[in-house]
Amino acid sequence: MKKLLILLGIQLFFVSMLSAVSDDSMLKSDSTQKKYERKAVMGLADIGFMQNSISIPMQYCESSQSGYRCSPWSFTVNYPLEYSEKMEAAKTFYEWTITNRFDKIVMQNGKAQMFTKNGESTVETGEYIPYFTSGTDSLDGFKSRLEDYLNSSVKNSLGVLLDATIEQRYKELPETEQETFMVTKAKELGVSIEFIRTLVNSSYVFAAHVQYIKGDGKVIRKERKSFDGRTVYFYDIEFDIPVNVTFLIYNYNPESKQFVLHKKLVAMSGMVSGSTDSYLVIPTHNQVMAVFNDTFQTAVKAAAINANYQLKKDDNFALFMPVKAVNGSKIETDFGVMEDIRVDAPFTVMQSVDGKMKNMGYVRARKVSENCSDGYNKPTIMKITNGKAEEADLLREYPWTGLFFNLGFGMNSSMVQGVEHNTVTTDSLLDMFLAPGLHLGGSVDLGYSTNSQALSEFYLDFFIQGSVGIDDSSTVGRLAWFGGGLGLSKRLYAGGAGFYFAPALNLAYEGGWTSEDFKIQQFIVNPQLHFGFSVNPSFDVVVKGGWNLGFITSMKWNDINVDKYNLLAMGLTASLDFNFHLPIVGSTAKMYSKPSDVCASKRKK
Amino acid sequence: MKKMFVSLTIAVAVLFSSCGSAPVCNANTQPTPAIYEASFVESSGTGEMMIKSSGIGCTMEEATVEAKKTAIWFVLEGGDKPILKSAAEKTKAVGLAQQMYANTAKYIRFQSEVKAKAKQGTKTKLTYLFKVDVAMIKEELVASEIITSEDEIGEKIGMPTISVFADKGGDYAKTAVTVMQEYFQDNSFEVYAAAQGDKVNSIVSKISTLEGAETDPMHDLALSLGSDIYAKINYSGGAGNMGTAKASVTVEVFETASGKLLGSTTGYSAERKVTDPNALVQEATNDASAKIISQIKKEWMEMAKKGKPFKVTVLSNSADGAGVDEAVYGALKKMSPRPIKRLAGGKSTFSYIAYLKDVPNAFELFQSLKGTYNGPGKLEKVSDTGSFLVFKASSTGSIELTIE
Repeated sequence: MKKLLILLGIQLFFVSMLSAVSDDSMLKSDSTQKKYERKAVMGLADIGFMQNSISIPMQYCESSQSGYRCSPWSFTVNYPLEYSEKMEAAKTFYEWTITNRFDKIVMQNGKAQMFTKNGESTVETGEYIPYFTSGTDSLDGFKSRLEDYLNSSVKNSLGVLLDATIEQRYKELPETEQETFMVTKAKELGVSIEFIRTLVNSSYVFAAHVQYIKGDGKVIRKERKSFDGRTVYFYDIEFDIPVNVTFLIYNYNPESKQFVLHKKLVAMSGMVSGSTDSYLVIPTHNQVMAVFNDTFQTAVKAAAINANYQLKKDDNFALFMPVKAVNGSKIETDFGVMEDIRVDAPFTVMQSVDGKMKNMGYVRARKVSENCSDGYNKPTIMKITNGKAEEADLLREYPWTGLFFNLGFGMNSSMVQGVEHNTVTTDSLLDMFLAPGLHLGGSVDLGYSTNSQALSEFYLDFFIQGSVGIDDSSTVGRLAWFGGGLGLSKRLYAGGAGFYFAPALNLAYEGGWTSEDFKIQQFIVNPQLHFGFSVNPSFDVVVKGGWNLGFITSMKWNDINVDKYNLLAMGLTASLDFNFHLPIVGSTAKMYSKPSDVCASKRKK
Repeated sequence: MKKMFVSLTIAVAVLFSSCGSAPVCNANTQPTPAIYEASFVESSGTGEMMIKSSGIGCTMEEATVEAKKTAIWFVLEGGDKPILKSAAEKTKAVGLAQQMYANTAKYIRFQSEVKAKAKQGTKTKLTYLFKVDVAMIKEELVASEIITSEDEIGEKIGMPTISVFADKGGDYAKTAVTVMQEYFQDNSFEVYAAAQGDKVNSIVSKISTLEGAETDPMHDLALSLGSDIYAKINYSGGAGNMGTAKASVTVEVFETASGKLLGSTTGYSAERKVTDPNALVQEATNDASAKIISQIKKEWMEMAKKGKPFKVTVLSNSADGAGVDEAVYGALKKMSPRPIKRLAGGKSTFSYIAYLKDVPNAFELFQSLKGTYNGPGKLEKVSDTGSFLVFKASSTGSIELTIE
């Protein structure tokens, strides 16, 4: 019985809004001033899987100078998908999909805990809500069982909950509209059908079904030379696990008294890779399982982040809000952490022009209001990065992950110089290398991913790069380079035209070789300055210029070490880069902090 | 060649000037609003009105100012119950209205957030909700002698006395009666509350019987109480499909003397979930009250101009009847330019409906008739209640209607 996958919690959310009054159409703003209305969402914690366990046969690989070869290993990862595992996955899924912008009720036997913007309370439901058991099934089977459950057992209980929560929600009507007689009267008299209808219409049920999970796992033996010349073996564990989750979102239709499928979205983690620090001895099964666990949880989180992104494409779940005030390039607006606005989150500025809603530009959140209660009146501050914004323009949340795919074409130049006996040689040891090349990688907004104001507009870049020499003047021949590294930049937007500049620092390691059997390796420190144009939050064009300072760690010509000098390679670098937004975050999911829980923390105090 | 050069220079100059110049936005320099888009939202009390109005301007500020002007305009001239009703009043009010448009802050008690925003060409159109101090606007219009104050009307013919009766709807209709009575009192009407057990007085009852028409007990009771106007309240309610209920209250208002329908309206509550349905009744009655009050005032003001209705009943006998009838009718005819309506009676009892100007009540009417009466015998007052006068007239002093 205990092993039954029972219902953990049912979460309901409710609207607080002006439409609570009867003839509210007169009081309500039109679509140009649309304001997000809190929704009610019931999340079923017992998520569906197509398998009872995840099984990944491990491979054992050896990587050496002579090549890379793999063979089956004796260990197969077997990860049971039981109650606790499902609950853990559900927690991650709903943390990212049912965020602060929804009110919720956690339901237990006979009572329900309500979490609304202004706090939480407990309501006696007086009824036992039956558990939903997801079982192990295909998506169709899961959907069928879910709909049976929703339209038989739960819907009656839902009414009880709605009754119990209406009064509390009613107290949370916006202050401005309380000026009106209608609202005052409505509060005195009771709850209008409009309110109830909106309340029920805004009630959603979220259920998640995970597609069949397959993955690759390897234990890799790597060979390295120690300082004293001995060959040393290290062991790495690597997993590649993609997790795809189908979210079924149901909306309650009060007329037919049925839950109707509102949206089906498939959230993808992308290929999530995980590995460990190297072990000096072959890893144990427990160590392998620990890496698997970590990688799997990252994959679950990556899928949840993608679901969060996809939900924002839906006008029902995306934030809409008017601009309250404009002060130079900054704007003020309502909403904040309680609506899950993250630092650097972009918003589209819209305006009704000659009867049509037009895109006027983009703004990005800088200082997010901690609006844990209605009494808190500090606004969220946003910066205009593109276009312009006026008071009472409409802001629409831009679906975004803060992650970009970066592709750049550039030219590197470097001249190798040496230091002999602490005296800098003035002559170059080698002639100038000129090498056009390309680099590709990822770039993640740390402000958004960590939800930290201190890291706003700091971008972490990770890349691989390659270039091919075009200069025949060097006696060692044309150099081909290949390497990779990390970079950090801080964007500073100039005006509202989308232009920005960013001081940046790249650290890379790369190796080069020529047909003349010349080999070189260097650690590069590359301070840069970027001049970028953000066409929109999904696409940037960037011109990068920098100074390559390469600390040469190895230089060989015909297998003879050039070790007479401490060598430096210096020269200019320039590139033209393009950043394309990525909705699937893959392994970078690890860098994303949870939605803000500042309000929950404040309440606990 | 020179011509070509000049042409080219001009063409380039025109091209550059057209490229460089921003579209011109002309602000509204008129004191009146630029647009007249407004609607009534609610009457949040007897002295204030919530108006939804729009304004258009080159800037947000200008559009906001314009929206306020539109709200003031709406109260003055817009909608179905403007303060300025006639063309003459509107003409007289032009100067004062312009002062009001220039000083909207004086009359606006509440301004909402922007409810709608739209760019139209170079201009911005904004919509707001405003709570306007209608009472203050009326006071200023009265002080400027542009409109007549309600007090003045009251002085001329007196504000009407009203009786409110529950017709259908049981106890909920009684709740509605109480709410309606309060509302009438708030609006300076004198309310005659029919107490439990009040009965139609015997004169009224007998006269109604004599007139032979289908009698309305509420009309008779209103006559007995002496009210100028009476209102009948009907309640109906229903349950919704989500555990909710709604109420509607119908109010019909009649002139007591003539029985003429002055106005009728139905107020509705929202569909709500409530613990006590009386709350819905109250809401529906509030809605109806706001609608009916303006109808009554409008009709009553008309009466100030054309004459207030009186029902006059003369009791006599068969011998003097014809003479009395002729004399009373003649006397009433002299007092009113409007036709005197004769109601069905008999050979000894006669009833008339007369619209009389500058006669505030039945007693004064009796005094006037007494002075001008030249028929058989003398006039002897039996009763005067509100706009209902009963007197006796016979040469012998005997009448044929037995009054208990």
